[in-house]
Amino acid sequence: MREEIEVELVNEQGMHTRPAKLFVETAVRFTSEIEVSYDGLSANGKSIMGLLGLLAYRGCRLSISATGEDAKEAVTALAALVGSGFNE
Amino acid sequence: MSRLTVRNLLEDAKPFLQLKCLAGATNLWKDVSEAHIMKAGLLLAGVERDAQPDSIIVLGQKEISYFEQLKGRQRSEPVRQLIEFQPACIIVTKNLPVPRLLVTNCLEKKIPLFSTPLLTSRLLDNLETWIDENTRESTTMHGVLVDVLGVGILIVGPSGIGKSEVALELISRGHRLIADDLVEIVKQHGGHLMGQGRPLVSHHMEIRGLGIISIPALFGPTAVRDSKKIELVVELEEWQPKKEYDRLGIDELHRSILDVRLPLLTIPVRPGRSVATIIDVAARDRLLKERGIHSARLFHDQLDVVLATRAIQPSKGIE
Repeated sequence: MREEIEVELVNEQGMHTRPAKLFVETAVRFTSEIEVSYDGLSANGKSIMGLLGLLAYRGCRLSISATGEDAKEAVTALAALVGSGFNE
Repeated sequence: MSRLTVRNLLEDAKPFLQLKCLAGATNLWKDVSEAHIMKAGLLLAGVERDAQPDSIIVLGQKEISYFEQLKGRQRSEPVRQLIEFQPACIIVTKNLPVPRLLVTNCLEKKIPLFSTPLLTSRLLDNLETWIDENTRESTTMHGVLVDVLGVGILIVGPSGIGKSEVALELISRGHRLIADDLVEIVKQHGGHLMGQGRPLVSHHMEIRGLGIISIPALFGPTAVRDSKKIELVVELEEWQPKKEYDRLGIDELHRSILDVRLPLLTIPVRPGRSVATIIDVAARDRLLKERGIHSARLFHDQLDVVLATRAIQPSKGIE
């Protein structure tokens, strides 16, 4: 199963270290493979350096996709995290 | 291949081409990915007639001087010639005065007309380079790219398998990191793949238990490099007791990335196996193979000879 969702980075810092860490912590709770794409690049959603490598800043639209049994739950949880501004 | 339009030349290539739009601003959609770039030259005199449509036509000092020495009505013919070829765009270099007649015709026919301060030679060079660099096929992969003894090795495998740790061990042995976790791969026109990392991030690594570390700060500037040709793919995977791993190395497996075939090694990971050592040896073996020495096949052939000899003269054991 594959699910995909688009979400805007709304927090002040963008995809900085703490947001990347929170994203990965959420992503690893799911067995699905998770990819985050932005600007033609696609990063492993379970890798902090991968996410940081996107160099995505506030206002960027990220596409989060998950492939696996819990794909739907994964994209929902991750989109909620990004959408909430990483609880900043 | 990614496509480029005239708009990309005007907007995205601004630092390289410095184009200023004089006409045709509403008609910037034409594809220039494979456009023929030509100096107008004799096209103006009506001598050359086989220009391709959708070309990028460049007017330099010679063309403008030729045009200026024409009188009155004579001028309309070369302009008509240019327009007739339906160029993707027309560029006047060196900030030369653009003939009014050309501007009015381009405005009327909605043909993009640009001027640039660059010299013709510089513009042609930049134009070709920029189009070339921006039409290359590329992709991103999750993995670590290292340079081991000059061999570019892309290490891939599931998250948590220990790719970064293996790379760190290789770095501590004097090998070099290009990128960790997000590798941008660009297919070169020679048909090989170049890998590079992202600015700032690529020379840092995240090691569980340590956090984010800077490789050049810890190991010195020789521990990193910015890009490297990829020559080998190493796939790490959990050791599966039932799976048959390559025990002989006589047949080679391949992995295709952007339709480029690269040799592939699958290395099972389990406690007590130093994956870094195996990759180090794999790089040495790759260098041997590049020099035409295939250890496994050579051994195979030598064994053939030994066994054949023994079959003719059965050994009576140690004498």
